[in-house]
Parts: sequence; structure tokens; C-alpha cells
Amino acid sequence: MRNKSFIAALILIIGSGLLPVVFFDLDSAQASGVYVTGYISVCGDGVAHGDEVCDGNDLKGKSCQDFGFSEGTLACNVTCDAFDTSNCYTPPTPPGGGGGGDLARETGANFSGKAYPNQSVTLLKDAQVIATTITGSDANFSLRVTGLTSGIYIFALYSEDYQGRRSTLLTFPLSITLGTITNVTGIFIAPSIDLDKSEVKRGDNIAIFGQSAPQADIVISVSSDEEFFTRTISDKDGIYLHNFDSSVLEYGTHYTKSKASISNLAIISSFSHSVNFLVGTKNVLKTAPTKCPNKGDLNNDCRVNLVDFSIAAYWYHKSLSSAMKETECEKLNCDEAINLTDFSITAYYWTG
Amino acid sequence: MRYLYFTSLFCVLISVFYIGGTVYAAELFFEPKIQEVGVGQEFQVSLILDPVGEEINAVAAKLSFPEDLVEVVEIRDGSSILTLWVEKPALQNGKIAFAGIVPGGFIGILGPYEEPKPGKILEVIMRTKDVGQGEFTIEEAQVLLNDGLGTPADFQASNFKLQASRDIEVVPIETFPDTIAPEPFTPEIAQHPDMFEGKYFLVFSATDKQSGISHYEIQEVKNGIRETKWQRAESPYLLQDQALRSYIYVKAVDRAGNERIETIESQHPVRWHDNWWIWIIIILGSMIICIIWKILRKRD
Repeated sequence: MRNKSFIAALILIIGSGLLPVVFFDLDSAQASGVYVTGYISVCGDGVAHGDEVCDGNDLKGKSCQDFGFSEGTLACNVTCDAFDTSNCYTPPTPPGGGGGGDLARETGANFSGKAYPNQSVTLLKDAQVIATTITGSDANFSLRVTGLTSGIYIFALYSEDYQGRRSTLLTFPLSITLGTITNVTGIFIAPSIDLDKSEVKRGDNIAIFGQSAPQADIVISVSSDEEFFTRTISDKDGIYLHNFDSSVLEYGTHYTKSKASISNLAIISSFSHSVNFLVGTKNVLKTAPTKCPNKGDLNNDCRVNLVDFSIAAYWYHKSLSSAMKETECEKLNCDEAINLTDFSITAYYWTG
Repeated sequence: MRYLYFTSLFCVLISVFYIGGTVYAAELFFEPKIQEVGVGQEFQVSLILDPVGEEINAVAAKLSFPEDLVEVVEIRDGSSILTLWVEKPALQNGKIAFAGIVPGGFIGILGPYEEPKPGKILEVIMRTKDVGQGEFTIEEAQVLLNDGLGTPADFQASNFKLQASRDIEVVPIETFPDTIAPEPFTPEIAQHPDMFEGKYFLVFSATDKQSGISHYEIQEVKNGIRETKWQRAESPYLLQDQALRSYIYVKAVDRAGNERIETIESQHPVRWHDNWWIWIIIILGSMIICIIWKILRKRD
């Protein structure tokens, strides 16, 4: 009996040591709300990660024999997405021409994944737009940046849905090494989101809608004191719509956001922007969506970029003019001063 | 059985302590955290941000150091995670002050199959002046969340401890020559009623991943031919030619002297009849033709 107690105690001690570790991971992931969507591999580092077919001398155990040749040296191509069999051969045929020597490698990064069908995807490098593309009907996109040097680059991606609503900015701070191509695959841009009403009469439905990839599993969160989750599936155009019954909500302001996943591809997006609505005594329809960011756009050009940053920087730690006070109140945090908080708001709504 | 009871109680208390006491806060710290150096020796200290699961998009602080013990040789921001400086790192009243943002937020540097890594904000090259002990501290720090509201993040700041003594051999800092020009950038002409009385101004921002940007220079030329004389400038820059007829050249110079020049074409190019010298040529030409014609008529 005493031995049994001792073993049980030992298990509990080990268990108590592990418990905080398990909770740390879960809690930090949930509390922070920070999700990294995408798989990163570096072509040129000699290790075949993720979607890389091979990388340098890492041929994942393959040889010329696997490609129908009896002799020769199998190599990896410069983009790590295919084998180079140019030096494989079968006697008496001499080795195929070309090859030999190191292949000159570019320094760059590839980004690929899913956004919204037939919509634009914009890539920023260190806060400035560097490339844009249009997705296919399957919402797939691929972007390539070359001509980089060695160092830390902050890349960011966003998309716009069929009515011009922008997704959240998805950032990828990457350490780029000279002569390597960093591949970021499996990116899934967060869904766009909007509502049909700014105020809903308690008990009536409020429509929550937006766009994601086709046939994506959409999880919608409606939160106030208590958080409600509901699911829907986007159609072939990636559009989703859910009529949420407001009777479960208390009077007051509530927030909603959504995220998407495609289980067969094992990809999951981060949460969308959060939009708010009021549960009250009447229904008030929401105005048509605007392409312009809610905040940060100080010069009203529907973009948040270096110009807006410069306007804010001009007034940083200065007494604001009456006109600038109005702009600051409308487009920033309305504290009659330009300080770091205003720049943080600008950084959140950044479009490049 | 009593043994099991007490152990169970101990385990539960430990678990509650761990779970309840776990604080997820970003960290702002120096690297290295402690260093021994010789007098007259140059050494390098980096300020690092670890978001620890948060998404940070703005950081500002003042770095205080013992002025009787060390002097600043150089401040480097080339490898910073902050892409835009509200206040470029500089000495202000004996402290290194900075403020900057990361549009879209920073969650750590991503790598294959790795947890996000902390990122460097800036590095300082310092030289010891005297024997003694000292501490570098982070003051008036602000670390803001990328939540659209500028909510202050919970963060912990830790100091750097320095011991300067005579009996330590001076080891030079390893430096790599920077021969790479700053990254390509896109200057932009803008106008806003609340700036420069509504006049046109120019905004620009370049990055250099090696030594960092030293300064910018500008030329506004109407004929488009670049001159040798450049004017030092900062963004935002009030344009001299408000008619926007000039070609604008913006030169970004890194700390190693490498240059990148970007051009903005003239918005309203000078038309041929806007050039006074063309009219003089036309008038002189017409006069010469008239004179020749008269001479020829007289001969006839």
C-alpha cells in the first residue's frame, strides 16, 4: 500500500511539472490571438523543409536510379521544387550536356497560398508595396520577390474582397540569407467581414458576411461578456453569409470576427478584423462598404501609407492646428495630440 | 496514504501557482546582458524586442547609460525590425532616444520549424572612458499592441551591466565592410491642407540592411539633367518648385557612403514655348532671315 502511494505521488509530481508547460502553450496561443499562417522553408540552406522537393545536397534519399538512370549525380534545381537530372545517365549513352559547377542563386522570397477568388493580393516589403497579383478562381496566389540582400525584412500581405473590403495585414518578418530563396507556403489570408446593420433590434437577425476561399469552413465569433461561435461554409465564390439571432445577446455593443479553414489542405487563417454592432431597440441598416480604411488615412486617399505617416510625423509632439485636431479626432484616437498611439493605429491600418 | 495526500496537495498548489502566476509579457532587453570590457575598448550592445506571443507594432524608449564611464561611438539601425522611425535613434540630452513602428505588427522573426525569434531594434557601439561599474537602463519605454487602438502591451524591461577594468585586453569589434547600396525606395509627392500651408511636399523612406541609412539628399532640376550639387533633406521635404515642373532626384546614403538615387519625373514638364531662350533663338533667327532676305532683295 505504501509502495502504491509512493508511485501515485511520483506520477502526480511529474504531472504537476508537465501541467504548466501544457497550459503555457495553450494559454499563450489563445491569449495573444497571434497566429502564424504559412509554412516557411529556405531554399539554399541545404535542408529540404516543408514543400521543398530537395535543397542543395539534401535530396531526401533520391538518386539517379529513382529517375530511370543507372549512373550519374542527381542534383537539386535552384528553386528547390524539382530534381535536376541533367547529370544522370545510362551507359553507353554519355552524360547529358550542360551542368556542372555551382548554379548562381538569387536572393529572394516566394509567397503562396489562398486569399479570395479573382481578387487582388498585395505584398509589402518594409511597409512599401512591392508586388501585386490577382488570384485564380480557386483563390490561389503566388508572389515572388528577388534582388534582396542579407538581413531582416518585414513582408506583409493583404487582399481585397469583391466589394473592396480589405483583409487584415498578415506579416512575415524573415531573416534573409544571401544566395537563398525563402519559401512561405500555405498562407491563408483572413476572411473579410461586414454586417448588414449597425444596430439590430434585440431578437432580430443580423447578417454577418464576407469573403474567403471557396468552400472554406468559416468560424464566426460574436463576443461581448460571453463569446458565441457559429459556423458556415463559403460558396464557390468564397462568399459566406450567416444570419445571427441576436436574442442571445444583451443590450449594448458587441463585436464579431471570423476565421477560415480548409481541412483537407490543413490550412487555417488568422481572425479577420473585428467589427462592432449595437443590440438595441431598433434596426439601423449599415451604409454601403467603403474601400477606405476606418482610421489612419489622414489625407483621404483611401490608403494608409508613408504620406499619412509623414503627416502624423510632421505634427509629432507639436501643438495641433484646429483643422488637424479635427483630422486627428476623426482618423486617429482623438486625444488632440500626435503621439506613439496614433502611429500604432496608422501601423494597424497600413495599406502601403 | 498520508504521504499521498500531502504530495497531492503540494502538486495542486504548485500547478495553481504556475497557472495563476504565468504572465505573458513582451520583453525589451539588451544583448549581452552583462559584459566586462577594458578601458578604451569599443564594445557593442543591442536592444532586443521579444514579443512573447504578442503582436507589437510600435516601440519607443530612452536608453540611459553612465556618461562618466562610456561614450557613444555609433548608433546602428540597419538591421532593425522597426521599418519606419518616428524618431530616428539619436543622442538627446545624454540618452539615446528612439520611436518607431512596424506596419502590420511584429510577432518575432519566423524561420523553418522554429518558434518566432526576438528581433533587434538597434545596436550601439560604445567606448569605455574609465574604470568602474555601470548600468544601461531602459526609460520611458512604450510598447504598443497591433490592435488598431494602440493599446499598451504588458512588457518587462531589463538592464545591461558593464564592468570596465584595466586588466582586460582590448578586443576590436568585428566589422564587415558594407558595399551594398540602400534598398530601392519610392519617393512620393503629396499635399495636405494641414502641412506646409497646403503646399506640395515630398515623402521618402529607404532602408539599408547593412550599415543603415545615414542621410538623404535632393535635387530639383527643370531640364532633367542631374547636377553635381545636392541639398541635404529630411522627409517630409517642402518642394521648392511648387509648379511641379522639375525632375526630382532623391539620394539615400548609407553609413558606409553607398548611394541609391530614385527619380520622380516632372509632373508638368516644361513645354518648348515655356523656355525663354527658345524665344530668343526664334526672334534672332527671324531677324537674321529678314536681314538676309532684304540683302538679297537689294541685290536683285
